Amino acid sequence: MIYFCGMSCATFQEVFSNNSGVVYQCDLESCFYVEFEGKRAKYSVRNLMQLKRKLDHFKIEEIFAVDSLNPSGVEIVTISTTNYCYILNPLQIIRFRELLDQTFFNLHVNQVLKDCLQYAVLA
Amino acid sequence: MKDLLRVKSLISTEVESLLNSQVKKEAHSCAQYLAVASWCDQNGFDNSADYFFKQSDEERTHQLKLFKYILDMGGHAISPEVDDIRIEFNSFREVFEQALEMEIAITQSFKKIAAACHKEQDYVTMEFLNWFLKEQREEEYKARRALELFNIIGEEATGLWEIDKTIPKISYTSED
Ligand SMILES: [Fe+2]
Ligand SMILES: [Fe+2]
Repeated sequence: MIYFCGMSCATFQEVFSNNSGVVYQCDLESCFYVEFEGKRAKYSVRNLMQLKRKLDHFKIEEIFAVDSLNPSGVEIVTISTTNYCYILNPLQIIRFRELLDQTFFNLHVNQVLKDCLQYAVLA
Repeated sequence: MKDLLRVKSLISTEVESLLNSQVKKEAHSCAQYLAVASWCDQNGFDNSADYFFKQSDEERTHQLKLFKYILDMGGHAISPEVDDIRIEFNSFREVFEQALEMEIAITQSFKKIAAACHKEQDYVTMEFLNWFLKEQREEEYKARRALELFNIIGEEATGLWEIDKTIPKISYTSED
């Protein structure tokens, strides 16, 4: 797939997509483009990991608890060193998690394949 | 497709999180030994208090060693929250029983990390862990020796005073 990013023409590769979004990897810029429910953001590896950590940190059952400290049920996610901010309801948190879980799963598969084929590390 | 995870970091997410939980355990040991030093001091066991102050410092060194390794490998080192520190003990002996228990738990924990490294053929981290595995030999040895003093010297009459006097003499010399 060929897309245009900034001034340069780069090859984007889809890491994973489902009906809530899509994650592309850009080898040229060594980064990821994450599209979630129509919102697009560019993340470094570090930032993408941070986003995943933050999403995994939420306890959905606590959001729904009768004595919840957060009766609105809405969580705000910001990623340091970027200007991105998500305001997510519990369903969106679950969907976003799913998107990133699958993304990281596929990245790991890519890693295992690379290890086998390119470096012959794992027998 | 480039392996961007690998470009970023030598260690896998799993090993990184195991190392981070070890950082937390070392921080806990550091704080726990400090609490023990406080108890010993307040109960008149000055030599043991000194011994545990030193142990606490060592645990802090262990914590930093792991912390810096994670960073050097490109990982995300997490400064841990420390909780669950025991500050009261029923006897002088119980202090050492707890110390041994803690060191055994640490050894087991390193064995678990080593097993994970073997599984994913992370020999780089394995080589780093060797230092800690060797260190645990000393840690368990010293804790066990200290506890044995209670049987050898006995707790009657001036026994506890004698035990406290002997604690600083415990050392592990075997280098092989
Ligand atoms: Fe330690
Ligand atoms: Fe120790």
